[in-house]
Amino acid sequence: MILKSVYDGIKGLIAGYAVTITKFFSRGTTVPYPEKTPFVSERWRGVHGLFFTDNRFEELCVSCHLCAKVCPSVCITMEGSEDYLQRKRLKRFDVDLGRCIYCGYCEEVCPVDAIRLTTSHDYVSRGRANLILHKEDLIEIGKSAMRRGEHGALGIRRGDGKKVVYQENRNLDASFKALSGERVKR
Amino acid sequence: MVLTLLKSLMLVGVLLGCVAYAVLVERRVVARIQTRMGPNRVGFGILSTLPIIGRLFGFLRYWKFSGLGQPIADGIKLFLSEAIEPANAYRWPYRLAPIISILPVVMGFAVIPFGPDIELLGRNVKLHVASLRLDILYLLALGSLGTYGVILAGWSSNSKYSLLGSLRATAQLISYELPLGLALLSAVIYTKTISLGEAVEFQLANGWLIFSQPLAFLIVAVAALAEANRSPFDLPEAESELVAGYFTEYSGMRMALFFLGEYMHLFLAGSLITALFLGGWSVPFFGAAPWWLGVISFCVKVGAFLFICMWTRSTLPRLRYDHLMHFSWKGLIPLAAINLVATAVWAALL
Repeated sequence: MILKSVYDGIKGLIAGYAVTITKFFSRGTTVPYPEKTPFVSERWRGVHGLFFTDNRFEELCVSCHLCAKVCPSVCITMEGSEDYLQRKRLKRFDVDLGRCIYCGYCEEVCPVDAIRLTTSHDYVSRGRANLILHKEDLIEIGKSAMRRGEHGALGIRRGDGKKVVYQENRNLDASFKALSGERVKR
Repeated sequence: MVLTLLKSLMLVGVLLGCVAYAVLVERRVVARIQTRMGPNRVGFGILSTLPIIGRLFGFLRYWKFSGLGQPIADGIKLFLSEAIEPANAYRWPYRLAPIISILPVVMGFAVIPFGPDIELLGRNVKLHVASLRLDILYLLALGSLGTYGVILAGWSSNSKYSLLGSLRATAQLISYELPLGLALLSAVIYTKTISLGEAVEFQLANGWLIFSQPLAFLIVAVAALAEANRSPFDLPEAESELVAGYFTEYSGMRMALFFLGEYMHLFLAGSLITALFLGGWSVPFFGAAPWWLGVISFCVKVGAFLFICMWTRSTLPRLRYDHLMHFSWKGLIPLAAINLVATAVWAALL
């Protein structure tokens, strides 16, 4: 009886020590941040960016105001106008990062995937006024994200042009409906 | 005389440096085990920015974030912070307690043989401060004296946390002194000497004592952990229950003295175990080693003991108070007594 308990105790001890020593020799997950950049998933919901067409020439946004409407924290302020071809285009687009909760609804609701959340997670400023990103800032962020080859938190990968985007979006709508309990027709 | 003075000064200096960096090593090791980074911000990188001599320290730029400057920063912080004294404290016991608690530990190092005798400038120099020939007795006596610092600190702070911590500490220290003494006694009977230097010589001739007295070694190691208030026996300073135990009311350098005293106690325990059970300065598979190799071997063995302590700290949870007492009185003391009797019978028969 005593021998059994001693045996169990020693077994437990050895198991505990083994766990800690393997942790000691394993590579940790923490990264010394400013020196080394941590791994960030492509689906990370970071700072917003306004994306362009693949040739980086024309902005995608059609000024439909859906993102401003869906935003739960009302951090998007936008104003539309017409361009020379009488298409709806953005005149003003402000995102208040101080209000944003990074829920990603704007990205989901956008019919043309113009606004996407990029992986840049280390956005800081010394004043609250700087936390309001204007159209130019957002375009800059979007362009640099495109240069990095990012496709936003939805993980949209474009194969050959714009069609794929709509296709992906429809699938996503279907999956969201499925999640919310609606029947999806196949 | 001068030589002894020099040796003791060197000993204290080296000891303080070792303790400071052992704290850093412990923090890094425990952090590694908990998959954290540990202190890695403070370094000596600033030296490389000095105008001319900075070139000498250029290599330190790469060690900028290794945390090597952390002990120095901690030390400066502790020296400069105010030593607050509670209004209701009993003044002189309160002020003396840190000194009483660190003094026996530093004194204990006087008898530790760090290496074989060396020839220096035509003189025979022993690598220990005091040649007592009663080393183990002396160490046990000092270990008992250390309890006074703990009791005085807890009582004179006039605070419930301190008093509870010191009560626990006292009970624990007294309980674990018995198995420690008994196990050391069986080692003494086996080696037929009470001097650590002669014990090392004995082990040079007859093999390490850890192989011939494994039970005594285990008991001494466990009891030494408890004596040094180390995890899993760190009840006197259980952070989650007693704030900081008997030195709750201390701050600044006085707190640092307690802290250093505890760490040095661990070093002392490691040195004692190394000298008595791990062959001291003998180098395995290396008959007549040069003296510096012996000293290195001694340090490596103490370091291994410290690493095992850190490993233990991050593995085992703290014991409950009654378990702690049961473990000593019903577990270690009978085992140590049986071991002692068996060793005595063996020694009488041979």
